[in-house]
Amino acid sequence: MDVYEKLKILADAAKYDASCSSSGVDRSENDGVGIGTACAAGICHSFSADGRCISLLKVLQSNACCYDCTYCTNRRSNDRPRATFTPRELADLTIQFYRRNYIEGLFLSSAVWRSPDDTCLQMLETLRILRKEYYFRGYIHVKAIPGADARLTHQLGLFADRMSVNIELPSEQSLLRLAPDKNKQAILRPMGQIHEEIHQSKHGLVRYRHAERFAPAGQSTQMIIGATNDSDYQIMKLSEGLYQKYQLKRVYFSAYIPVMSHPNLPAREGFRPPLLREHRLYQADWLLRFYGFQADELLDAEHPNFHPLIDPKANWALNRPALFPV
Amino acid sequence: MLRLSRQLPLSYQYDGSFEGFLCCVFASFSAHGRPAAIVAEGEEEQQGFLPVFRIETDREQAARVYRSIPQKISPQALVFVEHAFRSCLEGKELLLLDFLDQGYDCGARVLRRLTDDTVHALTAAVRSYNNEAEQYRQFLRFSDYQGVLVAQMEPKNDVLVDLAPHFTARFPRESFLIYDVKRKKALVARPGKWTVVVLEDFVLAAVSQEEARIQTLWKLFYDTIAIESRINERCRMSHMPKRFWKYMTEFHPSPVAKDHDTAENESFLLKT
Repeated sequence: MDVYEKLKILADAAKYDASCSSSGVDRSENDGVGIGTACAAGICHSFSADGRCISLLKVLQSNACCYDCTYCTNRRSNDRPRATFTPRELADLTIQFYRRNYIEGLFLSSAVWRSPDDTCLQMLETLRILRKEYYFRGYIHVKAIPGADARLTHQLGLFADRMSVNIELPSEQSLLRLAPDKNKQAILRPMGQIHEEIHQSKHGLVRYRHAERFAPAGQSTQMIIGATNDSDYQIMKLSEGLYQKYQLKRVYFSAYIPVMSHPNLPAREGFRPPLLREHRLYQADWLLRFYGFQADELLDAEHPNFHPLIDPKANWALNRPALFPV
Repeated sequence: MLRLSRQLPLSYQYDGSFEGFLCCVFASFSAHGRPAAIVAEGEEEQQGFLPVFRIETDREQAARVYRSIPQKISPQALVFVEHAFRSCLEGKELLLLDFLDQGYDCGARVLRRLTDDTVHALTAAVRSYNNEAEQYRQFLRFSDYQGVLVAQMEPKNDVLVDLAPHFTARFPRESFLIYDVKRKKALVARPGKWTVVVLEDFVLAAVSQEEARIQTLWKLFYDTIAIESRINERCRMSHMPKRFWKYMTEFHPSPVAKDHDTAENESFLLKT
């Protein structure tokens, strides 16, 4: 199988990951031995036909998964072509794209190939070639693999700018229902570790100039919206908790897009991705992150979902006429 | 020293360079009068019936005006003037002359006079200039010709030199060339140095097989990464206006590679 076939399969498998930001780290000076810089605001290099930005080469290392998550096209019981990049192929492709100003860096995720540790080792080797052989100073976003050894996650963080662990679904029941091989603890453990290490690294940098930098652009996560009947209220409460407890930079929401049929999933025929709901959640997310709102102010148990026609801020105002006397 | 009659409205003609423009400023101030127009060489048809006064570019005069801007106005004003001069605003020379006149009068505050027609027009032009420079940092596409990276572009504003710091910092070990198709000039960079040269005739040869392979891979990635059920043309166009598409690899027809052995002239042709 050549690189063309692999890229076709592995880019297709990675496209549902919402995050494509290349922001949060500034390396404007290159010492002249390597290639690449990173700018704090990030740079979008292209926009695909769906209007989403293309900033990073977003691919999986492998889609040969040993898990069987119901919502996922890469689950092992699904009959589809499988491919795995060798670390060398992927590093070379990244550099060739980067030289031509196609991309700002690499977004590397992976299905669990053989075992979490084996997967992690492959990804580590890709990043090692980029950082230590090509002296690549561009942006790298890497997914932590839940269940991998903590030392491997640590190594990934030293090479990457941003790390993320996908929380996948907004509640434990949903996870149990749709992703039986994953569990809440397995997802939260690396998230906690990354948070801890970012904190330590920042602390260490204050004391020692040469302290190791661990994921300097922080941590993010993503969850699927609309595959289960979790309410907006639950989602907002969860996001708020994640921002507070793990100091995430972003929580990404991804409108569920049916890629397969299963009795546990919404019917495929006539299903339209809840794009408006996704939009409302992002609006509310901005209120949480930048405007000091709390989830309980925006929604409550009696009104667990956002009104599709009114934005969350207007909705908040309409529910509090006493604050806006005419 | 030049002494021009105050009564007679004149049209200044200069060589089109920034230094030449600074000499126009010098001439205007030493004559205690404003010209009715300032026209760059090659734009003669716009000047109409006014008598033309040719301003020769004098490095010393230009340097005096150049130094005066950060001293008497502010360092930001100098950057502002340089960017506005490279913008595509029509009649920018006369507006800049007025801007400097006001600036010498009131100092750094002139940049905040946004209700003034001159400052407002120039601020909009500078914003357009900076936006376009950023867009070319995003959308410029290089192709590899025997190890030299070559890109083409057609910007509205003259953003070429503003791309140099970004790309030289990013590719410190590459040789690259960015060609401005309309203005017929190119930014040429080698490790550690760069310069702008005039290239009248610029023809690109066919790409090598390896380059064609990478371009095909990029087009494949671009087409694969879009999610069919979220297609949104309007959104794509507002983020990435169509005028940039012409030189972007992802919108090119599939590249045709030349065979290495049969290619008569593999390198791109440069005639200065």
